[in-house]
Amino acid sequence: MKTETIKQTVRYFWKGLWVAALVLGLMSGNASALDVSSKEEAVKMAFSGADKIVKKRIRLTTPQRAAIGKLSTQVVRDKTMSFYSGIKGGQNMGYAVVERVTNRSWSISYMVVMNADGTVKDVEVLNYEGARNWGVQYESWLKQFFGMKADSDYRSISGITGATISVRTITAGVQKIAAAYQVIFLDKVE
Amino acid sequence: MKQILSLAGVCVLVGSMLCSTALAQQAPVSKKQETDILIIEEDSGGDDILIIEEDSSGSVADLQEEIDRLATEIDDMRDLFGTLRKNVNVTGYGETHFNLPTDNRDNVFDAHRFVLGVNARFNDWIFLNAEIDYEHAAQALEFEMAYLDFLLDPKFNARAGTVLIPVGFLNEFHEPVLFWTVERPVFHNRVVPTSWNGTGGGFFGTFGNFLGGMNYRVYLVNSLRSIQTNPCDSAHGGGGDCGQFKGSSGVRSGRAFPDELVASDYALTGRVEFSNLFPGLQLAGSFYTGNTTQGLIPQNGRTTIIEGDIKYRYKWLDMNASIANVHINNAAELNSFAIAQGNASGNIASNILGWNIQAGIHWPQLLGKSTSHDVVTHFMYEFIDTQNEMPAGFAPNTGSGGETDVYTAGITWFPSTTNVSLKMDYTHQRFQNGTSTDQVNFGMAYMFF
Repeated sequence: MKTETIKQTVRYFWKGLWVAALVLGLMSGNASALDVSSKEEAVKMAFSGADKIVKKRIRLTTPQRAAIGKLSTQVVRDKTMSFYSGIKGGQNMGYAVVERVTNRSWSISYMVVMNADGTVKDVEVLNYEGARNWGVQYESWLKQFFGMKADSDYRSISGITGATISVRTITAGVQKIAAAYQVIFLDKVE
Repeated sequence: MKQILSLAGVCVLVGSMLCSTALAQQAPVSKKQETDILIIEEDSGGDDILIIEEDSSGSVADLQEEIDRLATEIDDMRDLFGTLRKNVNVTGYGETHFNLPTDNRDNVFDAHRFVLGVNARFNDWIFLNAEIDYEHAAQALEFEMAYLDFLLDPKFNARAGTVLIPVGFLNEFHEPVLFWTVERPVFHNRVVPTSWNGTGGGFFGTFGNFLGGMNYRVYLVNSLRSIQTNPCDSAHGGGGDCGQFKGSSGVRSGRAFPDELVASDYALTGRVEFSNLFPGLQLAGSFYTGNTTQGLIPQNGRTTIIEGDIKYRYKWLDMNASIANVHINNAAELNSFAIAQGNASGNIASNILGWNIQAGIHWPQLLGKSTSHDVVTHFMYEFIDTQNEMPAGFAPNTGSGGETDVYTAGITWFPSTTNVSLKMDYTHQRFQNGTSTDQVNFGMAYMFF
């Protein structure tokens, strides 16, 4: 009986290894979360080739907060928001916002890069703590945001089973940042 | 101690303010515009890119006010030991149901689940995920899961402890705000027996850019128990030594909890998910295979589940479908043993089959309304056959087992948050012998973290 159990365990172990090897063999992914240690590094990566990067720290007024909240269908609690803009040869390369939020139990940091016209140029997950599923940090999923604006329908962002909360957290974050850009820089609400 | 720390915090803040003021004075005067915008230029270090800070802050009094506010906020975040980071978090979910059968069964209130989860961080690569279920107004306690994650690389990580079996899309992620019906779909009860856990461990990971994103999990865990010498109604308690397979609920009662559980048989289980094959489409497949007789009879009673599921959302149209086949080896011997023990009528099937399909409409999106609310109307058809094939010499019980058609239609409201839902639905079940039941259900569900 005992020997049989051990034999069976060993058999399963080999099967497990075989499956693991097969899966590892499929390794073809490239980039995961950006390997950066600070906001500044991330921003420099977003505006590579910039002559300089200007950080605008904006203290949100009550009307601005209300307008951002209305546009992004969420309650905005931020007191300040920092927009980084890359300048190259006097030209504005766009704006970037870096946020760190609590996602379920642990934090997630991401950077949203906006074009000057208010469309989303890029979203990068900078850091992701813990694991139930990492699906949200890959461009295969994040590229859905590219080209979206403040008034796009973010309910169309597709979900990932097992990463439902991460999906919602990042979607709400991108929507808020797009709305903030619209309100502050395009609509110039004061 | 706490006061000293907060004082130190304020000093650091004040110090940095003074520095930035000094820096500001060195900044080119040309940048100083008519408004009192503070301009700080500093070398970003390393590269030649200059980071310029523009701060629309006001007077010194404003700064002082902000310092005070920050110092208070920082103090509020400290624990008794002065630590800022929180390494233990409480999460949870719950659901309460009101079931109204249209026949002469009683209406019932059921505080079906109240679940507390604890997530802990030991360092930046070892995490604990645990959940305790207080079911039916805390009259049934379930050790839902408690496992350690060892994060090595997104592609390959290890997990050990009591884990949720990765079969079907509901079992691992079963929070009641993640599905629309009041009760879990019948498929996820009688075919895939949610919530279902196993103790052992395995590997998991993500291949982010492979075919739009692929996740996998593979575990080696304790197996189900198909037969018992001393059976009881549920698989709970007594070292898992009372569960057994049944005609009506398939393998459900064979689940065993790890309270000094006899581990004579093991199961291998896994799941592969393609989470973004094309926009809005998620495709996944799972398997489970293991011997189940735990050494009670010479035959192994090997039980194998193959499952597939799909989720698709296109704007306001949201749908999902699942199919699973459960094959049980040596069903005849299992039945003979059960009958010999005088504890079953001998209707364990050799094959169980089930599938379902559900479609829902997100109304605010369909109507083009910009709102944080969501209202979903949904319809689901389920085909459940827990006695799809019987071993020779054993007849199916067509009353509660056998082919069952289940129709569920309902409405779910997410009131301005996706973490709370109010549900109402109507379920019609038709059994193979022609009898049927109808039931109206109301439910409230929530999830917190």
